[in-house]
Amino acid sequence: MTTASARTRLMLFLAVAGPALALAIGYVVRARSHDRLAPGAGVDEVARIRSAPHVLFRDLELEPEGTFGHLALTPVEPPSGGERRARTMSVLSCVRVHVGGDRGICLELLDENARKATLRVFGPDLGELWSTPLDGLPSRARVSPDGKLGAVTVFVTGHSYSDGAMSTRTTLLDLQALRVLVADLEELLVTRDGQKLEATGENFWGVTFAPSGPTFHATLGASGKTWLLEGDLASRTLHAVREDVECPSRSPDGSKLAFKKRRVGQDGWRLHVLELATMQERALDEPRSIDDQVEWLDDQRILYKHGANVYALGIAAGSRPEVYLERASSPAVARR
Amino acid sequence: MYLAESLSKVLGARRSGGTAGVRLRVGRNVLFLGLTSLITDVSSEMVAAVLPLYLVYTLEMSPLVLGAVDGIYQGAAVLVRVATGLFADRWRRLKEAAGAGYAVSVLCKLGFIAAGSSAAAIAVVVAADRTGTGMRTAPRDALISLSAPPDALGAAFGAHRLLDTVGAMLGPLLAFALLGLVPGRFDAIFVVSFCVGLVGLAVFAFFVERPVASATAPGDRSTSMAEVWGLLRQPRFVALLAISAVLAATTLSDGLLYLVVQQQSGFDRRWLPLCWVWAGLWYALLALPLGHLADRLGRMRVFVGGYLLLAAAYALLLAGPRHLAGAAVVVALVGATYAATDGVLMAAAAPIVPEALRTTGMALLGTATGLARLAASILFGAVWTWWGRQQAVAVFLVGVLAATAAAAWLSARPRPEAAT
Repeated sequence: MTTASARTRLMLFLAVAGPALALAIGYVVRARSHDRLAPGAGVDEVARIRSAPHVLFRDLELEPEGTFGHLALTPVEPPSGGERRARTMSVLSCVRVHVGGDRGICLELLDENARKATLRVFGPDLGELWSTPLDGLPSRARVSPDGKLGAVTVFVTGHSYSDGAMSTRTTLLDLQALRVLVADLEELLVTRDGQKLEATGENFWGVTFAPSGPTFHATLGASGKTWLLEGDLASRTLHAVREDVECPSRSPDGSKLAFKKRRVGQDGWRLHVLELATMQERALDEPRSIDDQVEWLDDQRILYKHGANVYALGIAAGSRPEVYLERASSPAVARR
Repeated sequence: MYLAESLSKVLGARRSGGTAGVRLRVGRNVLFLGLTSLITDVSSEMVAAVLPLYLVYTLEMSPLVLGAVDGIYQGAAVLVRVATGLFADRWRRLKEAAGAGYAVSVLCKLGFIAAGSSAAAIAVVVAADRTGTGMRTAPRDALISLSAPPDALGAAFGAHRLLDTVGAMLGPLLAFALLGLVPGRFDAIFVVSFCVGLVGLAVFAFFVERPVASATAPGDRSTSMAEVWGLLRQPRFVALLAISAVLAATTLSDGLLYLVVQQQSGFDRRWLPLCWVWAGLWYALLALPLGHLADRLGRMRVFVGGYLLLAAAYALLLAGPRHLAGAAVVVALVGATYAATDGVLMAAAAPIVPEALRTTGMALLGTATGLARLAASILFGAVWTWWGRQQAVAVFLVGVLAATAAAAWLSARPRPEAAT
């Protein structure tokens, strides 16, 4: 190169720098204008998707402009041809979304620094029925399969379940009467082996509802441990039934709980499934750490967020996690 | 991260330049080397400035992971530099050695996309990226030293360092702009960083000339293990090594520190990359004045005292600044800390280390502080993850105060004169 003339060197430089700059600019322009919505997709498309089982989720795509974070829908089964799933937007912007029966919950973050959020309850046509302010960062939302009950968890302090100093508040709602049932699960009596559980620094999070009836499960974190709670709204009591269970999620048939469990000797959580009949638990074939309350796609497959994607995983041994939705979070399956 | 070595060369060379004054004209080759560094720094610093956002907020990894990755980012380059410095000296193909380092770092930018959301893969990519940085530093400095006449070395390194610092500030600015243009698209940041790195590599490959190396050229003699051992038997050098390592062990990585600042003061996380720009500005403003101050007041005083600025930053963090002004003061204090410690440490080392062993001595100091900062980042991330953010800051505040007191005592102690 030292013998090359100045002109040759300039040409060589331009031959590398020109395409490099073109690639950089082209990539950013494409990222900005990447069109994902089919032209004309709108009310009809929403109606078509909603006529069959579908998944609601938080859209993490950035394009078209103004859609990031909005509620989106996609059919449960991908359209034939295996192409990227069609998505349709709603004007609702939800950090967390969940649906059951004819009700849905959307947690909208208003101001992250001030920890202000709004809880919105929506009906069958995604129309808002009720909203109420939430103090905290939205973390979990659940609607009972019959659409009667709802539960939300927010971080009062901290951002993550791995943050030792975090604190959470979990609220139970009546989604038919549209009112708060239990403002904070702390209000309920917690027992363990028939005795009142004495613990310090109690936090409640990750409620999941039984297929029908007023029973539910949740997580209690206290004194550096976590417990699986079995709750009964009729008697307003919570029982600690098992240690080391976080963010349980009840399968549609009610037979199983999927949950995350602290990994031993390393940071993070491993997904597990607990058979409620036998109380036998089993680690799932997902080697990565997952911090999510999983959603059941059906009785054999679960959905959860990792990184910026939603993955699907069969609970049978030997299953492999697959990307279910790119750039999405908070999947919620509408089974109707 | 600010590498101290070059700055100390500037200061040192200026002083040795004596009455001739600073020559403002620098050679073409030095200019292109500086341009390469500017462009490469844009490429690497734009990634460094978004790592906390990417790891903690997008991939939702714990502060412990950020601490480890950031620690590797700041520590790996220094570790590799020692090894490759020896290698490049023996091989005597400076341009190839530096070029390989640039190429490795450029390729690693695509590695970030390939690594996806795996913490381990990201750590490997960061380590490889910084290995590239470490590989090129020593041969690049040697290229600079061979591209300028001995009496213009100060100006050469000064010009190079200036362009380098400009790049380190432009990179986070570019990242900030890109995140505004395509929010959340970290893949776009990595691709742009790759492209910018490619341009830097092209400048280096096509415009930087191989200088005619004389057999007695400064800086390209290889060092033996015996010389290193000899240095490690000098009490004054060992004391300096211990002081700098202990103090560095209380210094958080930039990423962790700015993330704490952001969470404590609650400014919008998208502004996070601007912390690097703000700190860099204060570093650039204060490095020379504090260097001169160190020459007058005593280098160890300014060096150890610099860590009191860091203690003030930690204390302010602990008090919990709830607004932007508080955050700005903390980050400015961090930049000032680097200005008071980075170059000054090397200047303090200069009279202790015999001239023949200067490169080795400085490499040893760099290694010790790099390792200490790696450990500090992991420790802070661990305390934050398992105990809490405030607690972690409190631990490090106590640590930096204790280390400063110990260092002040050690450096004030009368020591036996070195044998030769």
